[in-house]
Amino acid sequence: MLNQLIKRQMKIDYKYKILLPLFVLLLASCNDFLDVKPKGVVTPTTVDDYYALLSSPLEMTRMSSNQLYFSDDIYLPEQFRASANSYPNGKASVRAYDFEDYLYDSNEEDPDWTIAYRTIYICNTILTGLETNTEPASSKKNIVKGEALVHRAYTYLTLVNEYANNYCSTSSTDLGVPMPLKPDINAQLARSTVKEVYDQIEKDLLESIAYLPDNSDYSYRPKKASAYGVLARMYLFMGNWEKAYEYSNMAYKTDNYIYDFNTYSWANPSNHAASVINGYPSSSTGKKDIVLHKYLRSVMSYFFVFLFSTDLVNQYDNGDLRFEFGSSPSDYSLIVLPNPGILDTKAVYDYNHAGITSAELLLIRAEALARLSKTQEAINDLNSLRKKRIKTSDYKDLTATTPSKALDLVLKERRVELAFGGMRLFDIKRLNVDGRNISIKHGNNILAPGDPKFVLPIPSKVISLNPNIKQNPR
Amino acid sequence: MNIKTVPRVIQRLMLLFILFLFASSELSAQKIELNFKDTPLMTVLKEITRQTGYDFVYSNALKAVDKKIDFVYTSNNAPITNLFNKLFAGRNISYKINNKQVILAPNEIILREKQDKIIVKGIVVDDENLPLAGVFVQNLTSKKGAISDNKGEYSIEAKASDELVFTSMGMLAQHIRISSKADGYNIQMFTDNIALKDVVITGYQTISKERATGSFSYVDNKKLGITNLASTDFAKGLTGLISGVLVDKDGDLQIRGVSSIKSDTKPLIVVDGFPIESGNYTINPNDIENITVLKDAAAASIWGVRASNGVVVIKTKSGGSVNGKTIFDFTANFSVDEKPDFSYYQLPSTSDYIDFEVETINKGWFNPQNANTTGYSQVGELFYKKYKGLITDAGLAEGLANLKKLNNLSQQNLFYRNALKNQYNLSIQGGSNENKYYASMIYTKQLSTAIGNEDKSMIFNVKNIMELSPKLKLSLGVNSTFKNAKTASSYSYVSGRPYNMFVDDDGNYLSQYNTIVPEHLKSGYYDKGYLSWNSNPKQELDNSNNTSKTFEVRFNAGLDYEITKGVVFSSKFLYEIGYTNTDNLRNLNTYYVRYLSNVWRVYDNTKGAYVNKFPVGPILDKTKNQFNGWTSRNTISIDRKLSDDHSINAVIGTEVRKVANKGNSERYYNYDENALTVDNYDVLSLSNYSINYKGESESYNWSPNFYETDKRFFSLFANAAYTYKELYTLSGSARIDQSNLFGTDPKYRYQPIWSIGANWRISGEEFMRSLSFVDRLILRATYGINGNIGNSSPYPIAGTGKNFNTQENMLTFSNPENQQLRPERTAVINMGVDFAFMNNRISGSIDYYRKRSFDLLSNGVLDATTGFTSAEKNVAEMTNNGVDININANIINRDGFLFDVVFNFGYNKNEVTKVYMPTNNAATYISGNNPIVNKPLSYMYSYKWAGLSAAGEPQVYNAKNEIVSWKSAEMTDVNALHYVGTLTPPFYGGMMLNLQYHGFSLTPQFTWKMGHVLHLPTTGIDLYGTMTNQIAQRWQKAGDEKTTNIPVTYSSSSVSSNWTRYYRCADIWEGSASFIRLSSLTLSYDLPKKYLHNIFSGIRVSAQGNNLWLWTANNNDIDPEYYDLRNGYYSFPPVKNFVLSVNLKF
Repeated sequence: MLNQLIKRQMKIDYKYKILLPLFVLLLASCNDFLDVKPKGVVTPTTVDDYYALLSSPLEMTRMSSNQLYFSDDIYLPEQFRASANSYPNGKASVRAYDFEDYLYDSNEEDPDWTIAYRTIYICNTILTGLETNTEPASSKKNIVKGEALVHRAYTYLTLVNEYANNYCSTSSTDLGVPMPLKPDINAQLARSTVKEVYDQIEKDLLESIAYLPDNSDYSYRPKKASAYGVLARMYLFMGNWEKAYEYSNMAYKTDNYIYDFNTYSWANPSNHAASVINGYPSSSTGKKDIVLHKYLRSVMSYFFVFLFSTDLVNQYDNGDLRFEFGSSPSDYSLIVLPNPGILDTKAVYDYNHAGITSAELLLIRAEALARLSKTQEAINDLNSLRKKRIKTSDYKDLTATTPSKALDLVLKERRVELAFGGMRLFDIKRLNVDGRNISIKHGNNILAPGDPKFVLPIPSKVISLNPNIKQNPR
Repeated sequence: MNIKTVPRVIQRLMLLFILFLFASSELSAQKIELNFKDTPLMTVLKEITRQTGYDFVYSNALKAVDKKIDFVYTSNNAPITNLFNKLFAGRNISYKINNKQVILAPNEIILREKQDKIIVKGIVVDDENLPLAGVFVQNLTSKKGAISDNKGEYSIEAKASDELVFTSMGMLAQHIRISSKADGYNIQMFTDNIALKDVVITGYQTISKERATGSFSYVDNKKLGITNLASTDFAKGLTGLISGVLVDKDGDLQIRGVSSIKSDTKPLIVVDGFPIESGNYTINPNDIENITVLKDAAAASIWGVRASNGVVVIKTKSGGSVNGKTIFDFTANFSVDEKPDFSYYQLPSTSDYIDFEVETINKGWFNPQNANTTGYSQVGELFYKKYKGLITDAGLAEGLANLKKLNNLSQQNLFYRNALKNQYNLSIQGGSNENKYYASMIYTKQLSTAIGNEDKSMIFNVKNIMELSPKLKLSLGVNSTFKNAKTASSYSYVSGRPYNMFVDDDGNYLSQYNTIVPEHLKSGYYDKGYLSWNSNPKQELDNSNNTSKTFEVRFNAGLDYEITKGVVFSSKFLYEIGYTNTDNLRNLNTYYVRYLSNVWRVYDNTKGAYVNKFPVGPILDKTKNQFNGWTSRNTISIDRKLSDDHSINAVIGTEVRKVANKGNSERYYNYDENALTVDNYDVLSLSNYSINYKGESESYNWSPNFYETDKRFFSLFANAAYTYKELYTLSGSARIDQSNLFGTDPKYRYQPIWSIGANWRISGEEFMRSLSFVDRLILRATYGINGNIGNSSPYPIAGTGKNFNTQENMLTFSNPENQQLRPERTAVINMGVDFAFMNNRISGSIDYYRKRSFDLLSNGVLDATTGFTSAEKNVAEMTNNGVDININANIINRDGFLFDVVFNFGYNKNEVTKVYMPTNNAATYISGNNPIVNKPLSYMYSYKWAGLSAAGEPQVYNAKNEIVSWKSAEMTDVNALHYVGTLTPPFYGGMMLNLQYHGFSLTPQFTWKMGHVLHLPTTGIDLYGTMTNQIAQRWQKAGDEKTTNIPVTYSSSSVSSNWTRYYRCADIWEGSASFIRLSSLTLSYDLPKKYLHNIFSGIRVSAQGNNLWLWTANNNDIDPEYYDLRNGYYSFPPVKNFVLSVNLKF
């Protein structure tokens, strides 16, 4: 009996009822089974994704810093060379200080270039993605677009001033920088002209205004005033004084907080001096005078110290708290330095501010006013800044009788206020067009007006990988 | 699938399962159907074996098996003897059944167990000294025959000078001649490797070698038993055993060169039919029955994209024994690794080191005026004291002289030792044909030569195969691994100052100086309550406790059901789970913890005292990693003879896989291991830049992290082989893999990988009959396409994160969008010949292959203007041409003396044929990072050395043969470089000799790699740990440039990387990396039966030495396997190893 039963069971059930359903089960569930998304990574496509891409300080706000060493603000004594050389970035800085033809070997990356184009890639991804994004219009969608436009414009403005001639009469033929506007790693773009780059910057910034909010949560998130501020800086570089005035004025209307250094001191923990000088506290929160946050990438490692050039020290008036707070006569071990030093974390470090501050807006407006022969208005702007920078006991109002006198004072103030923010080389380039004849002297090496080395070399590695890019004259 | 039906299916399944358990004994009735016309008897016998399980044993003397016969027979339940009587009657064949083995002999040989005349008696044992039953003993002179019984005992009538031959299935035949003194002849028979190799195990199926079209290599456990003696990683045991397989010193395998640029070139490891996720250490080498390496396109199309680097198929022992007796097998291994010898590094003497360091100080590398900003060495300290006026010139000289007397190699015992390994393995196997079991346990305790590093592991393996009915087979297996490891970082002696001792005479830790706070400033901190700023590698070693515990389990179950004759449905399931938890506890005596405490010890104005903002106390880091995965595979296979001339062998199936990984890391502060308490601290204030001990702002960003991946795959595959007249076979296979990974663009998702192949068994042809010395001659060829997309993705991918200051969500790009990304493809041609001559005394195979790879994926260099400096992209095309030769020769086998040679030889020529975006830059060529057209993937170039300048500085020639100094503009012209050769050996192989005589066996194993190149070691001109004793020969005065190539110490001003590159990678340092190694020498002795007293069936004692002897083509005592070939740096010294092993069988 049992045998019979088993045999029947085997014939009917075994083959079909167990085995085939197993097959069917596996085939049927295949699509659901494979439809599982990885965690911790995304392909950015939504507005929220784009917003998050714009939240990374490392990617969005880090800026170039090699131009610092092509300036008359810095002094590198012989004794620091050895330790500088032992760091990869330090080596390039020393070469820059020596005005060498190339800062990097042909197998090295130039972080100034690499970082800038990464920022641009992110902006391009967002701006291209928004063209096909089907999410309904929202303020966040606008913000994302506006921010990407401002960051891209700011980055191109820095790049074109670092790696190309300053804006001038020959800009429509002068080679600027390659200008990708879409994310495409297979593109081999040639350099656009300086004018083309400026046109794009202007277009992006003007477009961004409509999308940006009046206020933003954090200083790394651009707002309307940020766009005005970058426009003001751009028009100043272009020599368009009216517009430089117009936009700096518009930005300053809402963003006019200037720290009064007289209320701070090294000894006061609640109003510590370190919290008003560049770089401290970090970046994104807390500082009220930042219109757009950007910082200089780290150039030096731990032990290395850069010093003020004597020329720069001489620019400071008595009682200038910027000098007191921003410099140190000795290193941290109290060894007296040959020139005052900028201790690493206090200035030339990751969080040295290089973006746009209310003070810069005031200085742009003052310069534009002086250029437009509005002498007294220019001087008024200067005084309103200086009052908060210079010890009350030493403070005296400045006066000027001619526009050119006023301009001299503005430029002197600009150099002091914006020291070590990466702006000096760009200023020297444009001021030499005015005939101010500024040379940079580093020891026996002199960079005289007209020297092609005022324009930094395009990284050799980039040229070896992309034959369409032409090197700057050396 | 309706959910309601699930339980019913399971119910039904369980019911059937139970019924089958009851029924299994009832179902042993045999149904036999035979219908042959004009077929060789041999083929008929094979079919009977297949249907009934009876094996046939016969000697070559039985010519009748080759004759073609007509035979029809059907039976249901009739005694098997009916069949045999009918089959052998009238064919001059007599037979005798012993267990399930049928011995066949010509009729003139009388198979009798009792003999009348002079009787020769003895015992037949196998190579493991187990008694062999059913061995056919034939007296060639008298034509009488006999068979050994269950105890292996035989007796046969013979007279002096008669020749006896012993034959048994799967064993090499043994001949003896009876001497005048007739006595007991105990015979040991050895496994016939060639006979076993008649099958090919692909993991999916076992197919006869006669029909295989692909390239497969096979190693059995006899050889692996020698090469893997006391090993914990089976892969090392493959070294030099299989042609085309390269094993490096870490046990990483590479099959037939590199077909991918990406780092993962490891083959797929398949254990008992399943690719495993867990590491090699979960496989007990003693459990391995055999290993088959699949090398060509056929391999990949069976196993899918993961098989593009080849497949290693491991079959583990599956139990069973003669007569159902339980067999115990116990092995104890003791192994010693010699203490590493750091003289291998050619380190400079202390005196030379100090002379060099003094020169660097004089050149301003260290300026005593700056002593407050930089840490300094003891030599630096003397100069600082001199500068401060604390010592005189004489004091300085005396101090230096005292330091020159020291050398910390003398304290090597603090960090290194002779390392011992104990290993015990016990296995039990037994069971009947219906139920075979195998269980094993291995315990290994291993100390590393670096003190503080040790691990203990235990692997349990249980395997059971149940024949529920003749048609239904169930296999179950569990493999679990436990491993506890302790790791610590040891002092490497590569960098560091030779005069810097670690402990004083009383064992106190000595300062190592170079830490962040200069020596003379330290006491100022200690007055303020700071902890020590000293760092000492021995102290670090003694006060860190880094342990990891691993637990991994692999469970598998398989059901094979024969639906109808030759058609089998198999359902197999594997589940794996593994955990590794690591605890790293560092107490306050470690520099790491003291440093963090000190950094945030600051003066608090309001309290008027120094306070710690960072918790002071031991730091515990915990990391947890977990994986689990399962694979379910369902196949239907057909192995069927359609008619006399046509047979087919095919598999079709699906595979579903899931592999999930998960883990996280945590950190605890001031962890008290007794009280089990921890401290909290203000995370945000330290992460947001806080004032540190120097009054600077510094941040501490440690945050817990998590990862989780879930990879899923679904595959469809099929392969089929058709054989005509047992002579010609055509095969084909295809597979589609789908996954949930980013990489699978729908465009490529359904792109199958496939192969086709053919096989011609020439030795079976009529015209070969006259060549009787040819036992096997097979020609075979395959062609196929593999594909691989790896982890690359055409889509932009960004990783998630948090903005540390604002807690906003943040995304960071890790991969750019690249719509031009295509899967990598490789077309593989393989042509081979298998041969066996002279009664299988010489056998082997020769294969030629050509792999052409297109659209190779690599992390290609990008113009940074694109936004990325590198990205996964299609970069090049490449070919690998090669030849694999395997030869086994049984040179002597008589009178108890056996001499075997296993020889293999591999040749591989790897060449990049096209580069999509070439970079023609000298520095890139020297670095070897980018593929170059017409060169191997791992090429090596040199600068043309132009000697030292008059100032002792490095110079090279440019393309115009002009001398270029390191100071001039960089020499970027690739035409000025010298192409040296390849870094992967084009010729490689191994040879294993096996000599056996009366229980003794001696097995030397050689491996070699040849034809590759290296840069000889040169000293670094710096204090950063690359210095060798050549530093004494550096340029020191004008004129030295005529006698030395070692440059001057560079001055403190800017030095470009050209200096080092020009000098280190110059053509004067070119050398050959060829070597021959005696990788192991094994002597073993099997105790004679008479000493075993019936308690043991075998006792073997073995001694082995590893890494005993090396011949190298270079004259610099460089072991090329322990060396950075391109840059000329030494890596950790090779060590000798000795093993003593005892094996008991009972």
